[in-house]
Amino acid sequence: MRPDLTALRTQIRAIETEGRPALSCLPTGADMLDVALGGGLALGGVTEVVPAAFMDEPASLHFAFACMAKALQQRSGDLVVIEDASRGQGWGAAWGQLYGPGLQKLGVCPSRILLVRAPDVKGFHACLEDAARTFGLAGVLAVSGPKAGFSLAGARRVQLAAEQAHSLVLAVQGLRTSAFAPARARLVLASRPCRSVPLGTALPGLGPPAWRLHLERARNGARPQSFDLEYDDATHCLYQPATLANRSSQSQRLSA
Amino acid sequence: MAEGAGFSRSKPCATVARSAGGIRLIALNRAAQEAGLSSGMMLAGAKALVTDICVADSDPVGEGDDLIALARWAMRWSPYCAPVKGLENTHALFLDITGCAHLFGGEAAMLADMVTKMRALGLTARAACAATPGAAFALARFAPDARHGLSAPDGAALRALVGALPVEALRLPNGTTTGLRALGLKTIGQVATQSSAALARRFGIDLVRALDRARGLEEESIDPVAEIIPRRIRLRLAEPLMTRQGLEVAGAKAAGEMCTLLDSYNEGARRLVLNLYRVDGVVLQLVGGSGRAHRDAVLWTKVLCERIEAEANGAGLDLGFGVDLVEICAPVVEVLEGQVMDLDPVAAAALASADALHRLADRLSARLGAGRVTRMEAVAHWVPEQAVRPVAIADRRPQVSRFPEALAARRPALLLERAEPIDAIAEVPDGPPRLFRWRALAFKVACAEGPERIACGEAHDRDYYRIETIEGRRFWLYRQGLPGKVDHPKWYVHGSAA
Repeated sequence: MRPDLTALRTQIRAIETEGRPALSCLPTGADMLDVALGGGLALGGVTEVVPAAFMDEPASLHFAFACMAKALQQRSGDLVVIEDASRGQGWGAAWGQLYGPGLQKLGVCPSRILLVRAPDVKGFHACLEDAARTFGLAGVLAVSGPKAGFSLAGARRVQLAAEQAHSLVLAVQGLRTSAFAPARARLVLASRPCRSVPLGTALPGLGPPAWRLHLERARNGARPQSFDLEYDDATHCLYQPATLANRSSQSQRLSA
Repeated sequence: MAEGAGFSRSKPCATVARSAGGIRLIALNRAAQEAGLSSGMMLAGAKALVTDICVADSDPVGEGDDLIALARWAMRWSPYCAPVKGLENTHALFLDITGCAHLFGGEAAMLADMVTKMRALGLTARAACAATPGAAFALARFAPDARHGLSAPDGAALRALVGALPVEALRLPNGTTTGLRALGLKTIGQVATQSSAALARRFGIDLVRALDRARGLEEESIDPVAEIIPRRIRLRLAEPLMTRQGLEVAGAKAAGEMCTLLDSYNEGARRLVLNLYRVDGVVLQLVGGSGRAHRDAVLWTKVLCERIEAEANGAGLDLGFGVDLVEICAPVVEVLEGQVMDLDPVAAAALASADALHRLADRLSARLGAGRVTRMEAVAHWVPEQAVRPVAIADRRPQVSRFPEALAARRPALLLERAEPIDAIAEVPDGPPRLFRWRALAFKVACAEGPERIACGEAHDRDYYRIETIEGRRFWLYRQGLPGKVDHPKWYVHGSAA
């Protein structure tokens, strides 16, 4: 890379981040993903999680809670979950309400969850901004309904609030929700068949849940790429299955 | 009496009700009384006397509700205020003004204030104050001076005053008073000269008790409309408040004074109630709650202002002709234990973060309504949908939040409020499903785990399976009814992200 271009980039970055605290990250535990995201999920920023298909909506929430379990392990404070309850046919009706025992299995202690159900889209945005501005929370999870698309200005306000308070905000979007423009990263999530456990029965047993994550865009300039991830309920760890991890490191070596 | 529908102050008006002989008048306005009508008269007879009389059906339930509303409004004079019960077509309020009269410049001034304020509402009121509720009732209804408010003396003078009143003042059923009149006992004084043993034998012990109560010899308890509230402050306003901004200023001032009061008792409030007394006799109530007890005036002001704004946006805040009295109550208070500002930075950060969360929760529950900001409480129940209960953060802390690990390990992250029936092809007799159709989509099962049997009573026993489809989507299904007991068990989907 030409040195003058690097200098210019540094200069622009300095202007962009002036007066804001330096960004730090929360490692997810999946190495390649953390590298691509520049260290992990951005603290002081919004990360968007989008399902690849309508049927993947529960999986995207599953993944978001897996990330939040990590946040609860590493950070003090509580997790605020803000739901847009305005929709007639959205999350709640389509896939069900958040269920305490299931969340506990994922490593999200129910006593540390504060559940907020906003009655309309406007209230949802206001609550999200308010929560993002609050210091000392482990994380904020925004579950939007099908109509809760963020306007450019609204999304920017949430992003600025998160930067100010250094908070971790995950926005789980519906399939048809408009994109959260200033997000630090946009992750598209698809379900993937798990590695089944042979039990000797007609149907094999369930292995750890598996997803394919596509990093569609990231503020740090990482190129779009996909990751295969699994989540271990026992240790509450997000990881890349061994064989695939080897393969991607090889491919990286080849490309280097 | 209801205004509108042809009713007016100057025209003779009455409410009527059906009775054994036909339709009778129940209540009359002054114009009707002056025209020579009286309560209990037949409507046909009344129409012969006054041709243009306005009538409406009597509504005892509505009248009772109105009387309770009036009792709430009358709490501006005393917190112990109750409607008089057990009387038909008689509307009266008891106020225990012990320790309240001096705030209004003495008993006489207080009674005059009551009569004036009631008149401003369009009600004709008579007021009397005496040693016992019974005596006060008798005087207020039958003493001529009660029109302007009568403050009665104690002891023998009171007995002389009550003695001159008719027997109807005793608050007894009609049969008893008719019986007394038939014996020639027309006034309370005449009844009191009789031996109480003879009266009790003839009319029952109730008459003797009523006589003692009316003559100021026996106390009586009243049942106030509002519960006793530990801390309360009132702001009397010189001019009625008409605007939302004014209301917010008043709310802020009331919250500030309440916090100072709580400070002197070393208490914090979990809930503050703002009662707004409108000049036309309606009381509006705003409730602000908090997830923990505190007495931070700035925070309480914010919560109350959020409530005012939410009510105003919902078009539920009608200030009418203005609010002339603002009352703030703290119905739930807790003693605050001193908080140690820890020198250890980690502990101090944890304290600060808990504080920030509480503030956020209070703000949000004030804005959205208490039921929308919740925590989960674990309930020891084996039916999955009943194992969790939402608890509003402003209400209380959840008692148990952790679920048994063994149980949690097999539960989905999302639970449908109602299980939805599916068409499933399963191994017979009791295997997991292989194919199922839900919401017009077909799913092929790749992996399954189960069954977990949950007993819900005979034909409703459930066998739960966690399954994954060939695309990797996870659901929580169950078969209702055990194979062998039910011919065709039904299948349901109950959760996703299992």
